[in-house]
Amino acid sequence: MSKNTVFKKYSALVMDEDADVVDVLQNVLHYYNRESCGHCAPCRVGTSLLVKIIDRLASFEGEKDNLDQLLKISKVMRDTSFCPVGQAPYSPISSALKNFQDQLLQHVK
Amino acid sequence: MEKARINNIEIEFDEGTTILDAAKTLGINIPTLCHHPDLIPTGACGVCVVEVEGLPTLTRACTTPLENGWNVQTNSARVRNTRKEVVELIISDHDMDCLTCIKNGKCELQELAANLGIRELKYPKFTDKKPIDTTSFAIVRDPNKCILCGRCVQVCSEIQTVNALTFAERSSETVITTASGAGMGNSPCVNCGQCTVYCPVGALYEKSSVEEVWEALNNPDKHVVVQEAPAIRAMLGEEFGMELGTLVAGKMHAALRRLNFDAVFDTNFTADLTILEEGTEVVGRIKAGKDLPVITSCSPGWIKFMETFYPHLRKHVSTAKSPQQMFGTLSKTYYAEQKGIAPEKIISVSIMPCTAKKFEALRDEMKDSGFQDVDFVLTTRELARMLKEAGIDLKTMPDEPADDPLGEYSGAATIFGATGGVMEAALRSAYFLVTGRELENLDILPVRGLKGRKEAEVDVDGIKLKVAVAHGLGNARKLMDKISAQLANGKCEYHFIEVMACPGGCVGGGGQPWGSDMAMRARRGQTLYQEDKSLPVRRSHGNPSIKAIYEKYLGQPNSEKSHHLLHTHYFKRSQIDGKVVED
Repeated sequence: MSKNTVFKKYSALVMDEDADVVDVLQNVLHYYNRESCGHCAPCRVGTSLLVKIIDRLASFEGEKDNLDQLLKISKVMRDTSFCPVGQAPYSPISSALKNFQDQLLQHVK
Repeated sequence: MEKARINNIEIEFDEGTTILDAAKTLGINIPTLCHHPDLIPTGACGVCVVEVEGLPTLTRACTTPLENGWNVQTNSARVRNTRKEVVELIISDHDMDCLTCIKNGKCELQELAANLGIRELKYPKFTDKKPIDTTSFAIVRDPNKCILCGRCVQVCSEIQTVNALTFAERSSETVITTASGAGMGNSPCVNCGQCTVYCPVGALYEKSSVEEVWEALNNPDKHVVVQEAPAIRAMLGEEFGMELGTLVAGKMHAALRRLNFDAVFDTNFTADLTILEEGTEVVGRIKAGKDLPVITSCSPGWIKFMETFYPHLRKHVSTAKSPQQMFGTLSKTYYAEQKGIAPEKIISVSIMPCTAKKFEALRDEMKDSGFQDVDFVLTTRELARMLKEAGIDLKTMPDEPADDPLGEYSGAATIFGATGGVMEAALRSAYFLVTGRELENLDILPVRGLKGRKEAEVDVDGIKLKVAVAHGLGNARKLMDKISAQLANGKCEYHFIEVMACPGGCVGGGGQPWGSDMAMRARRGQTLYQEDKSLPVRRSHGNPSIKAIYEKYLGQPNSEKSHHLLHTHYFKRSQIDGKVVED
């Protein structure tokens, strides 16, 4: 995994072509789960569930439903979390689903 | 006035009004979960979100002030879907055993899920089963049902200033716990039970004695007697769908008889007795100028709080036992002798609006009858459960009086259940004890009502008595700090002080019906003042049964026998684990 560069409000991940999108998402989602303070339910429960789901996909045990769940949960989190930590996962998840759906589907049982 | 639109209806509002409160004035109730009218909103759950035109994400109605020109939608498709999904997230980390839950039918989460039409469990539970905390004599905490709304932590720290409960860890591991996770029984928790009143789900509730009481009632060798605290008659009706504030004293006695109690007495009788014992003590100490001010001792939550945080004020607290404990002792001494029943056959049960009474009954020193004075304490909620299990509907009960000789009571006793009531009752009798004349105007209004701290000055034959009343331990703490400072400087301005651990007094106790708020507590208090007005005897020393017990048994107030049976002593406790550290 390459360096994590932080701009004002956004962050950019630079990686080479061999990077696996599930691996990237797993890294990002575990980060937000670790950073969640636990005060508001959408972020606390949301990041906990996202981590569970992405771990299943990473070990090739996921189901097709899981991809919808990732999107749905992160969208609720974006709309209802108290601070940017809980609002953040929607962006990487939605762009991964949009741009790398084939890679994600390879992880589905 | 500012202007905005909610669901396309124009509204004028004062600056600073939250969206939630503004919507309420239009009759629009936005669903909430962690919000409670008595507590500062924290926005923990995310259920109350609404859509504000022009803002990118949804907005919390409970914590966001409405702004001029805003256009708010509370029921758009986006809001409704999101709200549902938030609840789906919350219940994914919740024990879903509603049918066997103590809160079944009274759970705010259950009601919310029903109202929002949640029909499936979408996500698997992500936390492991945690052990249930049963270390306390009074309160059980089940972390598997906890939704981490934080209401219990708020009431414990902000209102009661006990700080027994706290958040710990973070993220998925976040829990509510006691210091060092030692459990509520090994914490400074004073058992006031306000956390059980504010918990929206079944995570905090009283340690039940219902099964033990059933067993006693079904045992033909036992003589089971029962007492009911003053506040019960102003709240039990709510459990049976009766209008808030309905006085059910007579129906309560009748219902208890139908549960097969061998004798149905009334804590109000020993409330009158408390006034004579405590009042005599106060008058004696004022005359001698010794250990003033005197502080009341009826509230066991307050007593443990005092022992833990203000042990240097121990000698100021009246040595008179609480009415519950006086009753317990007398039921196994005076009553046993009068009726010729062996005291070991008597089981003494009390019905209390209180969880701390469970702790009080189990205190080691409460055995002056030679036995445990009070065997079992049931909260209002537990009694309601027993009556429902037995198929007894309080609404259909006739009005029946309590039994003699521990059942007759005055109006002074019944107002014990509201903040300021003990003070008012004590002043009515203290005036007589000092002057030998009756106080003309019995309504001492400055000590009534829900103001956190109240003060009054009463002229008793030239002596100006300065009294103070505090309810809620946060208010008590402020008053005790003031007194401690004054005492350190030599002289305290007060003569007599009433403290109740729970906001509103006993009508706001930790054993009251679930789903209560401060306004409901105030309404119940009014009911007690109404009963006081309607009773033929309104002074404790005028109660004929009280006169009888002194003539037949105790001699006089503060006699040697009274001191042995009706008075107690206090300890110093650790602020870490609440255990006794010094006599």
